[in-house]
Amino acid sequence: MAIAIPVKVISIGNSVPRSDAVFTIHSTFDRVANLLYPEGLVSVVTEDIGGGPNNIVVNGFNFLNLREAQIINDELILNDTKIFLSKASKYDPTIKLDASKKTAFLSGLQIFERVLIKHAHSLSSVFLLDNRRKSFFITPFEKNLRNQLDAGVTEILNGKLSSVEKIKGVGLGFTPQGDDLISGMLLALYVYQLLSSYSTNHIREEIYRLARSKNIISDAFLHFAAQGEFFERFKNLIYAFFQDKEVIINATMQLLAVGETSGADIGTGFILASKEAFKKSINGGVLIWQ
Amino acid sequence: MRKISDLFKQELQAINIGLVSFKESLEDVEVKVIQVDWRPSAATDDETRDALQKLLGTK
Amino acid sequence: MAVKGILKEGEYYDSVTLMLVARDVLAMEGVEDAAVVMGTEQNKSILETSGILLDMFKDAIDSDLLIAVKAKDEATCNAAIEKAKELLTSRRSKAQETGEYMPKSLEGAVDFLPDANMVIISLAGKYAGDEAMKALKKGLHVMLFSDNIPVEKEIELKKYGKEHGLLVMGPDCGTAIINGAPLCFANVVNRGDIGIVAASGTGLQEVSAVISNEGAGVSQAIGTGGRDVKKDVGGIMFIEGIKALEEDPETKYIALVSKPPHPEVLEKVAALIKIEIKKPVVAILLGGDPKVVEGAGAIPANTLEEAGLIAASFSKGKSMDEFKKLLEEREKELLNLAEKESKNKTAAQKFVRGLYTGGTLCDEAMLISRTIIGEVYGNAPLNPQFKLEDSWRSKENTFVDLGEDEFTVGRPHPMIDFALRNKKILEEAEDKEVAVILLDVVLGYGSNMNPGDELNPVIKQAKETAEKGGRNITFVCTITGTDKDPQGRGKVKQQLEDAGAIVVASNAAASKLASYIVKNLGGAK
Repeated sequence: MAIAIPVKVISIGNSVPRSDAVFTIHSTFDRVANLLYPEGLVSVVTEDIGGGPNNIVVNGFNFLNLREAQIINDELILNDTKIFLSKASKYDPTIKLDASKKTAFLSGLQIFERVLIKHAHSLSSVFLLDNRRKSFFITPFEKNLRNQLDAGVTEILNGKLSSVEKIKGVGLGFTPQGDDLISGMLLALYVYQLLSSYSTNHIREEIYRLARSKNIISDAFLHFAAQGEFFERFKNLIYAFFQDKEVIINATMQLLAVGETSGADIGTGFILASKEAFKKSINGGVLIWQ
Repeated sequence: MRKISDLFKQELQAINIGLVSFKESLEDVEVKVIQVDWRPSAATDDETRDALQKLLGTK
Repeated sequence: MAVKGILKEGEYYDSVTLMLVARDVLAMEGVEDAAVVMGTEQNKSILETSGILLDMFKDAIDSDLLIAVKAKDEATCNAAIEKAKELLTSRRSKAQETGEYMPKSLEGAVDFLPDANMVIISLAGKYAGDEAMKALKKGLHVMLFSDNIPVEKEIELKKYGKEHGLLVMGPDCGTAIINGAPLCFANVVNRGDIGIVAASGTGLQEVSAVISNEGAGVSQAIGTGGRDVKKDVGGIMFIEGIKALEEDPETKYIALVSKPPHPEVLEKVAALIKIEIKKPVVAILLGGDPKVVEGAGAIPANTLEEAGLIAASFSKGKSMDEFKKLLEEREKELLNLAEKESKNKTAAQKFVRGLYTGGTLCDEAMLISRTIIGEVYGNAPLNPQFKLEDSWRSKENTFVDLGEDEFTVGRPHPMIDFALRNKKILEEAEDKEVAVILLDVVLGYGSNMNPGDELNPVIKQAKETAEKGGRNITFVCTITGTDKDPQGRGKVKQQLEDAGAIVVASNAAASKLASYIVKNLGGAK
């Protein structure tokens, strides 16, 4: 017997409007529907994608059938289905870290890096963490793409912020790999600020300014990353750093799970920028990008 | 402690992961069943797994 | 060398999809480079460096999808672009196929069906094991249809299941009946008081169908997968299954079905029956030594049919003597029928060709016919010396299992797709030495939905072919299934009989009938 599946809102991000938003549908996927309104972007996503500052986590609705979407008086309307938002839990994108646990963070980061190298998709940016992965890029186009990312990232890490422009928009897919790498770096800088006494506000603002793009989706990701607002899967990962290895492995696999290289790309940017920042500060120097 | 035979006292309700025809045949005989839209994660697609195993020697 | 491309506006795909499409295009002969990317400024500059930036791409914007191909000539480029377009469309439509909502994960499914108690898994083996463990950890029973799961994983799953009171049916478990519901490839049978534990899928189907056709019924039918009774797994679920049936108040009689278990496993099962099991047990261990179970107090059966009949007799309050009388009567009928069918054959006609879709049924047929006409040839014979050199070419008395890998590569299982067997039937009918063609038809969910419609014309045609050569071929068919099955046993039987085939009550009866005819004709070894 077929099961009648009710549509449920699981959580709602802090940046999602609660009233008077009529959306145009930007794009729909199995697990995500991207909705535009004058003030920005809202993504309706499935539970396995999880919460985010501008996400509404909805279960029981086939996004591929979505024709109309609105939020009016705290009520989400998807086609003919209306769901009150007041009962949904509010997603908190902020992250709280204990500055005394730097060492634990760094060892968690190391495990994360190992798992990523072992499991990420072959054409993701993880080649930046392990040279052996460069051999996955075969054709002239793939090699040029790889080289562009490689050069750009190396320059940024060496302090040349303007090279953000070299990697933004680079890559396949819906949110180009270059943009995801930048998001990862922004998140790393925010975490670094929480764990050290350095403010990274200026650098993050500058990177975001350089990285801004016409790609509305990428721009939203970059915006939240620059603010230090985390999507659920990445937030879970950071918290996992302070727990058992198994927890880190699970969180990494969750990050990689959904048919995209985004998780691996953001993770790569995060690892590279974290290592660079901590390396410089541990040596008693100042932050690289100051 | 739970026992296998407890299952025989309950109404069978199933979750089907894989071939959709198995869900349909259960619907046919009035069993409550839900289909999972399962797909392999990007972390473990065949091509990547094979290539990585070769490259990183983790086979 | 040529470079061509197209631009598609406002089409979005995730990166992995685009990579896979590009890689598939690259695999085409003559393609040197291929890119499927969004039209960002930076991507365009990489296309330029790679020598595949087309003029038409120069004004592309971030939301445009660019497909560029470099290949040995223009025709190859065009073909490659067509292929890319096709692949992208197929990715889309696949996702849009079903309008209904489906949860994306086991967790999501449990959320919508909180009282779920069974998870059926038919994913590729490398994923199935992990998914099964997830289900067990959530306290759900598991049926693993998937095969190709490492034996270590099977042991891990079954140990966990045993410790937590959960069923782990499979891997490679094709059939089960739980609380009256047929799972995967199962028949719709009467409910009743006979519980079955089986390490053989079609064996379970045959026994449960015989029980139901005799007017008795099945309480539970637990499949364990064939490997459960081998040494490594040690019969973990076979044993837990028997215990569960002993505890189940609805089950009054227990039937065990298996190919010969490993001796150590058999000892364990026997000890269990002797010490813990109070309910009557009937066991069919195809080709195995019945003494051990007999010593433990179980009743050994010689065939799947017998196992079903004995259990059904118990259930209906009949004695063993009555059952034996029934069996004798059936035997007499078969001998008479064989006598009649032996009369209209030419001097050259003396062999049987068994074309099986069910592996266990084929095994059983060979075991039975061996006692009447000696060893038969096959692709998986009982005696390795009788293995066909070429599985496609029969010889003297031959039984082939068309479900073996050598026949199924690249096509659906022969229980579903009859094309291969149909072809073989017509080929065998041309052979002047063939007197009998023996066929199994397995009904139930998952199998071919119109077996009668498909077989009827083929049998007719085969008979006509033989008749043109002055020969009469006897078709002997066995149908594993019931009238409650979606195909309807009665209807299928009628269709086969209309084509001139003889349909008997069981696989054992069919094997005997075919063998008796061959023996009469002098085709025995």
